[in-house]
Amino acid sequence: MEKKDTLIIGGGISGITVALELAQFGIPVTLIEKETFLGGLSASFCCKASESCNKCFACVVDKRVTEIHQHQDISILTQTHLIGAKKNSGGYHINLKKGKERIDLKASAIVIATGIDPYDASQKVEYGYGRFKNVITAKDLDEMLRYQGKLFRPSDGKLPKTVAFFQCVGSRDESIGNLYCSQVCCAYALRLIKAIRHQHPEVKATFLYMDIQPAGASFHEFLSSCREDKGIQFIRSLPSKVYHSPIFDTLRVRFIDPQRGEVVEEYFDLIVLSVGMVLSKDAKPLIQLFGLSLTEDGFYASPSPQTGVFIAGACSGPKDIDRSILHAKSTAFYVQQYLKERD
Amino acid sequence: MAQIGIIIDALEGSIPFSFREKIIAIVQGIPNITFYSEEENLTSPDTLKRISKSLEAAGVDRVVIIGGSPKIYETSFHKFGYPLPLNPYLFVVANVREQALWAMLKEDEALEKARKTIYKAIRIVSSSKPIETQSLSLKPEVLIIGGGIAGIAIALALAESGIHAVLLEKGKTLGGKALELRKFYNRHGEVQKWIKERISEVYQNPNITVMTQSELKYLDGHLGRFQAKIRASDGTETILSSSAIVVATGYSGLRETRGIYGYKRVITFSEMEKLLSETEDPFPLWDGKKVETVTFLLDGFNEDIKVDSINAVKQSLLLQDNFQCQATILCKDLKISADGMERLYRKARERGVLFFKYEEPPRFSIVNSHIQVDVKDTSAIQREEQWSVSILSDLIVVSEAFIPNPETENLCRLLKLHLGSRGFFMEDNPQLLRIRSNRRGIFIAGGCRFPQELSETLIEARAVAQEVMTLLARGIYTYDLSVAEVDPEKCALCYTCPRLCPHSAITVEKYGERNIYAPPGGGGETLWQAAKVDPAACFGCGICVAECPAKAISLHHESDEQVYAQMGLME
Repeated sequence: MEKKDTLIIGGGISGITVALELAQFGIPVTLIEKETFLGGLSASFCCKASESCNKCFACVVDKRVTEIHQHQDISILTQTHLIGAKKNSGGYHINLKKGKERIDLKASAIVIATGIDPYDASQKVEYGYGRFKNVITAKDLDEMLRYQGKLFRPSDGKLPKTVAFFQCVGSRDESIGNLYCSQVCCAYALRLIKAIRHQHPEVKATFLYMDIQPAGASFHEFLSSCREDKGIQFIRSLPSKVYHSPIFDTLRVRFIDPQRGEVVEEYFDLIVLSVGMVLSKDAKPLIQLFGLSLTEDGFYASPSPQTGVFIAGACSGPKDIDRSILHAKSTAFYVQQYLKERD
Repeated sequence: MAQIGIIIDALEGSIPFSFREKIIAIVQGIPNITFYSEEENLTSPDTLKRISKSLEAAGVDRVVIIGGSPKIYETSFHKFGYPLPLNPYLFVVANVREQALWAMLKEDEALEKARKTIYKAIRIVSSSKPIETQSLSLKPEVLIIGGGIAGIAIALALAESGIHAVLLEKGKTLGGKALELRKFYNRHGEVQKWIKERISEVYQNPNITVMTQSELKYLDGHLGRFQAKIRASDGTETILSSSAIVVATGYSGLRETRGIYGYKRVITFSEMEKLLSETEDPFPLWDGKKVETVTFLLDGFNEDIKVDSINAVKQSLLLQDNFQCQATILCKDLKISADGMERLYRKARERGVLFFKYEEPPRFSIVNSHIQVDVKDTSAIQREEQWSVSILSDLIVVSEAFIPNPETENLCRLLKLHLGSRGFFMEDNPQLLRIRSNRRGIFIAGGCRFPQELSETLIEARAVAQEVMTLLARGIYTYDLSVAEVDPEKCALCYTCPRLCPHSAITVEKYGERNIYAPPGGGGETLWQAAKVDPAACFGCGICVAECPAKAISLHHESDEQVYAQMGLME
């Protein structure tokens, strides 16, 4: 293959958006994705509508994935890994590996949109993720709702009566080195609660948080509707420990009740951990390959535009789907300027 | 008589093998079928080419595909071209798999349903008409309303790509709300200096025309042909024609002046910002007195906007570090969901800034020209009776209520955009993209949609520039006429449709010839007037079609006959 492409690394929502934007201008684009399907992390999200749309943007992803498959000018390589990149005068010489096949191509610009991983909650030992079956992450819950279509306790398959949501698991926490806010989890968890409460009004939810972070123009109305809901309890406190009582198969949670000013213990059927965002672990080799640097928070810092390497989406800092799309569009603008200047 | 061809998708996944013979029997039983064939691999480009040839040879002008969901075919047809030498609107998919074969339990019921589905599809296709595409040439001219930082960034980005931008500003200078800022929270340097550089770039750029002290008075036309009347403060009027419009009018603050808010030692964030940058003494002075303790009150008005939280943490750090003042921040929730904010919050706590989280609003009282703040701290690990904290402070910094700019409502009427519940401009559909307005060719950027932080505005500005470029870069906008059309002879001019159209695509136009139904003696000026749908602005939603009392409007791609056929009323 001897054509000059713009290589986009990562087929999540940001990568797809950049590819679509560039292809509209007739710029040849190659999109590589390590999985067998496009959409990345955002493809596993379920619709979180209650009585009305709660603006979770999950449907946007499906639409974009269909759109990119309809496009002739974008070559999509799934199950493909980047194994080498060499900079020369005209751009980059890229080595790819698709299964056993090796592909070489020349790229004039590189867009990195490798996205994020959810924080590995088992590192927070005190919450017992991985040891207790009924402690799951918000992503597990999301996938449960999307693929199984219903809410149940992993241990016995029954509907949980009380669900606790722990916020800031893996974010705003210096003890694990993530001193940043993941920016999306408050709205994400509240949307999940709304969707669950809409489906099963008998399920009581408890939301344990530090500060509720806003998300966009309609968040105020959304938050007020959550606060009015008697089935959702807001407690400003982060739990210190989770115990499992095997006889009744419930989870005992210890936290400080700010109303009473003392340490209390409460029982819950299911615990959902709102895990934060960390840079995708597949991103590490790219740092060396392209000489990138990381920000203080451990995300990609934007390299200077002369290098021809651009960062798009949540790997530049935590972003929800909406802001990832916007960020990807603005990156596409930079890429276009760069390509125009070089011609 | 339409020449109908039928293609059966013979793939096992589309039509199960057990049904194949029976479906073919149904097809053979249909009268007046010019051509039919079975295809194993309908979505491959080679097959499509071959089918096109045989369809052409048979003289077919309409096609029905019998198979699964239309989505399967549309995806590949979009990619490889339609299988016909025909217009894409002349083919219909009979979704036999999902609507009949999978839906019915018994075989004979399934086959009966399949027969009905196929007949419906044939009726729909025989009443469909070809739809042509049209194109509209677009000049690279964009009008940007609002000379704030969003407008400046968009103008610069567009100018770089060779698009001429007119930057309209009602005030004397560019810069807008960002001029109130002095320091960035997330990087070094002075905001003022940075903005001044941007503004001088704007003035030096030959591709940007700046019109200050000017306001939009009237707007006519649609995408590609907007005509804007602009009036300057000296009364001169100019008519501008532009292809697209970006609205970036920003937001403004409303200062509460009642009660304690009117007291001279209660100031706003922008006043504090100014005080901090102008103070050169070892301590800041306010009202001739030394300022030693400052209390920031957050979440008084805007509970879901993070701009204030960011400013409060930034300013409190400056106060502690540079002037040895004691800063206290009172808030409901501290909004730190911006890149680098948690680190700044951490630093502020290390430097001794006090944070209290309240639920009940704090009480203020004036004690010896100081302000005493009594607040209940809910995050302390104490019993309720120990919650109350009293702080004696020299200055109180309060947030303003963020409101839309006063001209927003008027502008919304001129541009025919939608307003959200709080009076800010509203995006068309949040699922699509938040910068698109309800009208094609008009975009919304920056704080006029929702107050936001500077670096986010800059990202949004480039995204808007990218959208405008996508629209204008080819110099031509191609659309097909799958839109509504008004029959002027039936239009009674009741103004129902222009009011209902969510995309403001309908206007009332004068037609050239005389109205033969006008009362006699009305004079020659009684020209024909009727509603007119602009095909480039119409989204083809069909609301006007349903509402028109005179049934004067029809949709090209979804005629009444097609709807009746779909409903099975033509059996």
